[in-house]
Amino acid sequence: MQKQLAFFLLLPVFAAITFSACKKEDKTEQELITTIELHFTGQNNFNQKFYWKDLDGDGGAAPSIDTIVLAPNAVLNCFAHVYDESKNPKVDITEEIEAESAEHLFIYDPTTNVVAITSNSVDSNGNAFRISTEWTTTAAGTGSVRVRLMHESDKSAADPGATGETDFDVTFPVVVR
Amino acid sequence: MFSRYWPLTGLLLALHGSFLVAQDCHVALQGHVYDADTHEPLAFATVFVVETSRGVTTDEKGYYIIPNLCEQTAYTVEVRHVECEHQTQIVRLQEHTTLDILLPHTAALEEVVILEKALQLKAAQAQTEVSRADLDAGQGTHLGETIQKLPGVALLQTGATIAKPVIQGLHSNRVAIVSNNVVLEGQQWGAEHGPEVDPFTAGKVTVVKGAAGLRYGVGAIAGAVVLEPAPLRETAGMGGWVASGLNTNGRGGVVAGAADWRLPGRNLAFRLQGTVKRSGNLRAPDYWLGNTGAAELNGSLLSEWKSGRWQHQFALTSFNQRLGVLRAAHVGNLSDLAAALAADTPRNNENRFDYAINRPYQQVRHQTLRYNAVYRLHEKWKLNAQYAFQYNHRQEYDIVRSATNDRPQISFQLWTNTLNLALEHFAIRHWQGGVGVQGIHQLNYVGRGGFIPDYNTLGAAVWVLERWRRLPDPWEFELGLRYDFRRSQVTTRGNLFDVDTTVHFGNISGSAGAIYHLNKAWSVTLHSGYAWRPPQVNELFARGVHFAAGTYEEGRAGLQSEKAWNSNLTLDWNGVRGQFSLSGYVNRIAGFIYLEPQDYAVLTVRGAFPAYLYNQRNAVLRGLDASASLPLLAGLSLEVRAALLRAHTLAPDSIGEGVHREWLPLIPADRYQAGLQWTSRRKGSNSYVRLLSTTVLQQQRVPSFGLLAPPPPAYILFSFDAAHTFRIGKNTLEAGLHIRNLGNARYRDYLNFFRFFADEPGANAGIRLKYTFG
Repeated sequence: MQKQLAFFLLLPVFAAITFSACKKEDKTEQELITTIELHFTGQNNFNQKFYWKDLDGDGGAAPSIDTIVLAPNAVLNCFAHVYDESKNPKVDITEEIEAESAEHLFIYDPTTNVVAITSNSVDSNGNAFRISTEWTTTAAGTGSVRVRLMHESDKSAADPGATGETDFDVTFPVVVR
Repeated sequence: MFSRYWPLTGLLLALHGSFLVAQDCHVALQGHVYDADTHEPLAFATVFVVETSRGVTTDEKGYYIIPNLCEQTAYTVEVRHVECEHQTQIVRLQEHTTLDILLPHTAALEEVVILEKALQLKAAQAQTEVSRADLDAGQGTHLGETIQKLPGVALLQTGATIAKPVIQGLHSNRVAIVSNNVVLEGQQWGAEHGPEVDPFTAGKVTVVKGAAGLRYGVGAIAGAVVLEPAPLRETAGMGGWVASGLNTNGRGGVVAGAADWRLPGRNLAFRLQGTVKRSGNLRAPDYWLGNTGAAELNGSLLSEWKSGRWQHQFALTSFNQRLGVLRAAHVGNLSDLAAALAADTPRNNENRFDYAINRPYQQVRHQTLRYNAVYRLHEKWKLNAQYAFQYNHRQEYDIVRSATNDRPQISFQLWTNTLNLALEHFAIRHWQGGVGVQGIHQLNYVGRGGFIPDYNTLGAAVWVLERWRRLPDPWEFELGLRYDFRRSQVTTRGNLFDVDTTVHFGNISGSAGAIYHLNKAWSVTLHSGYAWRPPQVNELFARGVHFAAGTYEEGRAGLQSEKAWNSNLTLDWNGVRGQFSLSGYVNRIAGFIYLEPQDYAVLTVRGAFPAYLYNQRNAVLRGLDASASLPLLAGLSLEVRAALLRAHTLAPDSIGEGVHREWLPLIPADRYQAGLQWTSRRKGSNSYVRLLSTTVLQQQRVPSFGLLAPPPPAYILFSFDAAHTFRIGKNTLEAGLHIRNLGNARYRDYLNFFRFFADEPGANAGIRLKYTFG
């Protein structure tokens, strides 16, 4: 009797396993970044956008990278935008990054002293965020700037770029003339 | 009555008739004598054939063999044992026959069950069965744990929770996993995709080594892991078991059970089985391994119905698993990876215990339905038909930017239909075997995460396999041939790169083997097999960054089929108390497909990654597997095992004159095991205590470039196992205790992809109980 009871107790377990199988889902792509836009504004109505684009994702065609051309001895504001242009219409990821600013950090590393970059932009906790920056150019010259977006990095660390994970890591050539 | 069937029947009868020219008196009767109550083998039982006045005594395994009986003759077989009632059975032998006899213990009138079946010839292919003790101890973990002690078997791991079997150096698409007579069809190409089978469904696990394409279809270049359920109940009534286990590391628990039933007066038997597993974060000696929890819920149904000449089997299985993936192993780009390699303790690690399974994790479902019908056309021929349906759904949830994103980043669905038809015959003139056809249809749908494209595959195969054994001749032969064809329509939709093409592949597989039995205990086996596999979709069309490896991987659309010619020579000794096996093998693979490091990097939005392209070259794998179990004294025995392997590709050298040898990546390092076991010699007791050491050397034979970090150093692990069986009336309670990594050693393994990020788990103690009733 007890054995048979145990037997029937097992039945619903099996039924639950079998029928929990199917669930509908929508077909959307994974979170992809194809485009990084640096939007510069400054004196003399300077208003220009420079792009780093890899529209076909990793591999395939090589990315197209704009050279950032700036005037010497100028102070410019820069705002970073991030898009997924593989979708139609393109997805503006910037809003999502701003909404979760506490978990994100932009890092700018100029390789030469053609430009100095500072930022007052802070996240929802008052820590560094740097989505907008101020670029001060020196005399004419060439170099490059590495721009990174870090996710869940330790913003109080000596080198926050060595913590968390990298969402993007791109390098723009820079010409000051 | 046979004329009702197809014209072929007439041909078969004609063939059969032609064999009946003279009576053959080289037929053997063999089998085991068991105690009907306990199913223990009975030694020193007498099996006596009245007509020939010849008798033999069973050995310690309850085994007997009476050779040189005549076919088509009725014999009276008497079985006697001092503790049991004696039994008489009349048998008429067509051919070599296995007759297992269950002797009732008591004087009470009980039915004697005679299990008569065709003689199961020893496969000519090298194969090893997992011992009962290892199966019981490993069932609560994963399939890999149950088979990894066998020589020539290693595990390819992604952290501690995902493990794929590696047979003689090869894995994934090159190993078939066969569960209850169905070849598992999942996303096997992925090194981080574990096999979707529940070891608790198996009563027997065998590892077949060497090219096994003939039996298990395309892909089984290196061998197969074969899980078979325990036989269903033979007597009317109800029975079953309930098992439970607890582990300290990961604070995991498992509960499993099965109920077997045979209806009285009817030939219907069935089994319901279920498993529930849950565990939390594992602990390495110095820290917790964040997000390494696991959860599993499985169920299966197995039923069998016999009626006249028909035998039907129907089975359902459902496998549902959620596996946490070590958080510290998630990196965004090469600088993150370099930081992980340089760090002493894992980066981004949740260094605490938790049952929660957070992103990144994998969620996998696998369901199978199987219907098998056997129709006995004739006393020597039977028709075997099987239809199997499999549905595999793999979802991978990665770390995402958006906290509100609850969708998986990867979703693959795979539907597989297979239909097998086989015409099998029992031994005719000592040849036993069959011919068959197979059809397969497979549909892969990539819901998200287009690393591979969608595909629709149709395939067909035709095969013939025959074995010869004439007792008491020392020779045994096997010959087989098979042809497979596959056609795949491959497309990508809504993806960043377009593929729209049709590919087809076809090839033969073959198997030839010879066994020479020196005497009852010693035998020598030479087996040669030829198997192939078409390139998988990822090898043809993959494109993307493999973050855990820090590489950019790209498929090559022009790849050809991979063809393996595998030969092995095995010396076996199966004594009453001991066992010894030495096996040497060579596996020559034409067009071995592997990821070849390139001398350039691919620039992505996350920075530059070194490029790896799928390429094919000829490769040679040579190895030696050895195992021995030798009695010492007073129930003590010594077990030793060794597995050595050398594997390299052959490429034309730079000046195009000779060949350049390059070691293959991810080949198991040499490993040795030594153990001391004490087994109770009391009759009917299965108690044992075992101490085992495993030594894995550092892999020195690695490709000259393309490796991120040198292989980890050699390590030695100790494990302890003990079990005792209590009898409670007619039922049994088996209690077991095991301790893995006894010394809490700090180590990393070359075959674990997460060796860059964290140590392997430390010591684990576990207990298990299994109550068997009915």
